[in-house]
Amino acid sequence: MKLTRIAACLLLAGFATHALAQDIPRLPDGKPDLNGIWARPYVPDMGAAGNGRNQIGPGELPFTEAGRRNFENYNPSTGDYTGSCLPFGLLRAMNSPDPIQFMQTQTHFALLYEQNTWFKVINTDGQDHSTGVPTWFGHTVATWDGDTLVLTTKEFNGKTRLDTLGHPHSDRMTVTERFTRRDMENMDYEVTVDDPIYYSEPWSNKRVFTLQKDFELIEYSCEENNKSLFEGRIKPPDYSTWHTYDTEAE
Amino acid sequence: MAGKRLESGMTKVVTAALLMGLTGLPAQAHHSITGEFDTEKTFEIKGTLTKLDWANPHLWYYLDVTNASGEVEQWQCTTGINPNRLIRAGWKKEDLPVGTVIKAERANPARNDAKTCYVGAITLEDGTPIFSGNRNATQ
Repeated sequence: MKLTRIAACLLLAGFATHALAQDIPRLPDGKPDLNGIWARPYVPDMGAAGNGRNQIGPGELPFTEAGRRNFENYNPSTGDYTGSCLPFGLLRAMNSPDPIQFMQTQTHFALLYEQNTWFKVINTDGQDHSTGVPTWFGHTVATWDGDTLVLTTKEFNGKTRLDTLGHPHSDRMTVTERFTRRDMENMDYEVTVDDPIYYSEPWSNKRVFTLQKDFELIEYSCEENNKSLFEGRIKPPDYSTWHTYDTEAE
Repeated sequence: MAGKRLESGMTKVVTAALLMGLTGLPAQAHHSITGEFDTEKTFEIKGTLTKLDWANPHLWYYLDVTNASGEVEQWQCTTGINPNRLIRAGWKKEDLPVGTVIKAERANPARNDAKTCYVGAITLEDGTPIFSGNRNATQ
């Protein structure tokens, strides 16, 4: 009986130590320090249950009929927004293979994407600072769930896709990203897509980011040598017939 | 028509649909290549480098290729690799000087443009990979 109690205490102590994640750097306010340049796996297909590059998707995506139809009709040869160097949007940018730098203070969290030298800055006071204008990367509210930074993003303009394969999303999508620094070298990243227009239920994709040491971001111009666009082999998307689900009857 | 073009100056047309991971460095285009290139067709060409665009988002190689009739064709081929990744792997533009004979392997033809392709790998004439893997580890 006594041994059982001791074992239970040791077990709980172990869990507590693990839960507190004492072996990660922290900001002066005690929040996990996520600063750094991180390598991440290229995720061209968020649905893939595993591509051998450290990502776990749900396998089969739970398309609605509209979602399946959109995906099956996607043809980049008739309009390729990323090939045209238009903003990739939040998830297409997060699925990129190029490095990303996080710059974090006690008031803001910035994501600096090497690809195309884009950035996104988020106020981490937990308040909603929305302008009400839909954007390519959406509007994000940051909160903390224990040691996990949670970014909840809405107000997308709906002109982007989730990944290179072309999985669709609408302007009603909500993206929830959870960043959990596991140790000095690794950060767990979990993203949940909730889009009632194109998916019948929320689904998630997980991967691990790896800290890069002695590493600097390099300038990256998407436009400088985009010969494929200049010479007409890549066609810009036709947004003249674009619609948003918030303004049209379903 | 594209298939007819490919018969000149090229070794083979074989079928494959390889979108990534064709070189030691992952060939990760910033966009889907299937709209621009026919990934159902692959071939190989050999030619003399006349110019190299070392700029984002992708490298472009310009080649003089002698076809089966002895005529010189001017080709342009791109790759999914960007200069940033090559710089980190220890490569620089000067590692592939103009005038070098190179082979473009596992190339996909452009859907609507003559003598334009997407290459899976570039090697020197003797088969030595160029702009592939970590340069410092392969020297």
